[in-house]
Parts: sequence; C-alpha cells; structure tokens
Amino acid sequence: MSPMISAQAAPRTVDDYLRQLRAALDGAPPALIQDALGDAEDYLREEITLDAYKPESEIVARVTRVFGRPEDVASEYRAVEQRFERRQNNGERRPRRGFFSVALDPRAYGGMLYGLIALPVGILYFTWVVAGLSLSAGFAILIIGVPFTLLFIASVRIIALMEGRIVEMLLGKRMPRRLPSDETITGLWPRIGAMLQDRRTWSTMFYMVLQLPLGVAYFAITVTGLALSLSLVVAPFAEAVVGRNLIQFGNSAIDRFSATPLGMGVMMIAGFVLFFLVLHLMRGLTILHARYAEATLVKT
Amino acid sequence: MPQFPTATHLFDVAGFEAEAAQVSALASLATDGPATARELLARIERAAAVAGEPILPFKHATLYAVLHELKFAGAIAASVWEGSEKRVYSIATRGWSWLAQAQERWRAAHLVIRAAAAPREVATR
Repeated sequence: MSPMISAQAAPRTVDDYLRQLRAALDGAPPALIQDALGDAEDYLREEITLDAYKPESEIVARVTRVFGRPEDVASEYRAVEQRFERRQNNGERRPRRGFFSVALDPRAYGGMLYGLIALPVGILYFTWVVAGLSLSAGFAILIIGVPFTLLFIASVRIIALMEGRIVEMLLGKRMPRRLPSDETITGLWPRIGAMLQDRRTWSTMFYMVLQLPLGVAYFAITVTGLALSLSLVVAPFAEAVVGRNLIQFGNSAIDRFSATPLGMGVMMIAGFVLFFLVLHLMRGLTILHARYAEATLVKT
Repeated sequence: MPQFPTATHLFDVAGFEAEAAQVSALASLATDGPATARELLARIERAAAVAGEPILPFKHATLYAVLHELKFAGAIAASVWEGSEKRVYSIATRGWSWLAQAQERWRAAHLVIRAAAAPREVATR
C-alpha cells in the first residue's frame, strides 16, 4: 500500500470511493480494474437504493467498514488474482527459452486453436455487426427502432464478454469477468446516449468487424502451416508404402532428390522445423492479438 | 526503523480470508440454492449470526473477488442475461467436488488445532 493512498481521507461519496479505488488499483490489469470498480459500484449503488433516506456519507462510511476500504479492496483483488494466476501456472512464471521449448508452451497451442476457430467466429461477428447496424439504421424511423438498437448494443456487449472468455482461455490474457456497471445512468434516453457515447461500444464493433479478415489470416496461417509441416513429416513414410512420389515440388531435380533416402530425411527435418516455426508464429500472434483484444474490449 | 514481524507477516491472512469466502459461498450455494452476490452475503451473515459468530472472517469485497475466480474456474455458473448486480450464481458440478474437498480439509484442520490447543488449556487451569 502506498503512503499516498493510505494518507487519503475516508471517502464520503460513491464517486469519491470509486476514485480512491481506481487510484489504489493503478498499474493492475485493465480487466481487473473494470471488474473491481464494477463490483464496488454495484454494491454502493444498491446500498444507497436500500437506504435512500440516509445521507450518502453515512452509507459510504458503513460500506467502507463492511465492504472494505478502497486500498484494502484493491489489495484483496490483486491478491486473489495473483493466487489464482500462480495456481494456473503451477508456480512457473518464467517462460522457457530455446527454439524447441515452444512445444511446452500452452499459449502456442491455444493460439493454434484460436486460429482454427477465428474464421467461423469472425464470419459470425462480422455478419452480426453489419446486419445489426444496417437494421438499426433501417428501423430508426419505426417504433421498434429504439428497442432494436438497444438490444443490438446489449448483444454486442455480451459478445464482447464472451470473446473475452475465449481470449483468456486460449490466449492467456486477463479479460473482464463481468459486464461493466452502468447503474449511474437512469432513464431510457440517457442510457441510450451513454451507450452510444461509450468508446467501448464502438471499439467492440470495430473488433468484431476486423475479426473477419484477421480470422481468415489466422485460419490460413494455421491450416497451411500445419498441413505443410505434417505432410512433409508424414510423406516419406507414405511414399515408402505407396511406392511413388506423393509430394510434387514442380521441379524435376528436387522431385528426384526428394525420392532418395537423403531427400526423404531432409523433408522430414524440414517438416519438423516448420512445425516449430508455426508454433512460434502462433505464439507471437497470440501475444499481439491478446494485447489488441484488451485494448479494444476492456473499458478503461 | 526496523520492521518487526506481525501476525500479518506470519500468516497468509489474505489467503485465509479468500478461502473462507470461497468455501462459504460454495456451501451456501450448495445448501440453499442459487443466489446473487448480495443474497449470498446476507445468507452467510445470517448463518454466522445464528452460529454465534456475528463478524465474518472476510470483507464483503473478498466474496465479490472470489466469485469471479470461482466462475472462471468452473466451480460456479452465473446467468448472463440479467444486469451485473442481479447476476444469479449457482454451484456447478466441479464446485460440488471442490466443496467436499475443502470442507474435509477445514474439518481436519479445525480438529488438529483444537487437539493441539487442548493440553495447554488443561495445564493452565
């Protein structure tokens, strides 16, 4: 706990409490900050709704006692997160070094799986956003326009939450575990206005649209890399069984060389090395995509 | 200024509180069925008061923090469609086995501590 935070006066309002909590969480992953602030805000707002006749300062003082002081809440969230992370990694925090050690990195396989599902998921996201935006614009002059747009934006937020779960499971980046709180805004029109003004609404839609070309690229890299490397490894065995050249390189000299025992050995080694290169590539893409997902899907 | 070890240095207080919150939440969901985070807290506080322990061994925020982890780990399930403050949690299949393991561990620890403390109580009388 930093001395600056501990020296702060006890919060007297909800905004004060949330501001202090945000300051205490400075440096934590954005998704953790979003979750902690959302939980605290929901708790505080509900307390105020239940005891509407009492002054806000009195309620906030009571909440500080039972829910926790902002700095305690922040350290509690950090501690729970660290313990969970440690258990997940079985105490191993440092990635192993070396070209072939990538085979022991679950993120490389997670990235490969993500590459395979990225295409169908990207098509779904793209279709959803384009159809949703078009229909929202088309229905705008009708009575169903507003509820339709609200439902569409709500669906985008839920899809963002689910995509966060996929990113966290396969790519290993901490993503939000809950939707952000928007309890402060009351009334239909202010809520619609807030949804439209929220940067995250638009960044999520941008993410969903961009998932189509990215999904195509990830899928192509994964499938091509896997197919090429595995076929190079397996082909010599298959050729020995079948008795003819199964892989044609389009060059008669290389084709003749690949049919010799030395050529077969070279092909197998090339396939083996290519497989590890694909794993490295997918791990690199995993790290980049996870950062991009955090920047676009998490409310900051 | 030298820093002398205190109870918080010696014991993993945060870890104890988090596990107490986890086990309490799982036990309450297993016994009384699905609930929101607020309902869970109310139930646990009521049960604790009935048992003669009016102060919970963890802050309310701890329960909120561990609920996210329990959900992520697949020990509990949560409804998605309601607003975040109305999200209803229920125990999942994995949660039942975790609860059984945790209850056994805590029961054993409680027995051992009580047994270890017993001779001293006799001697001081």
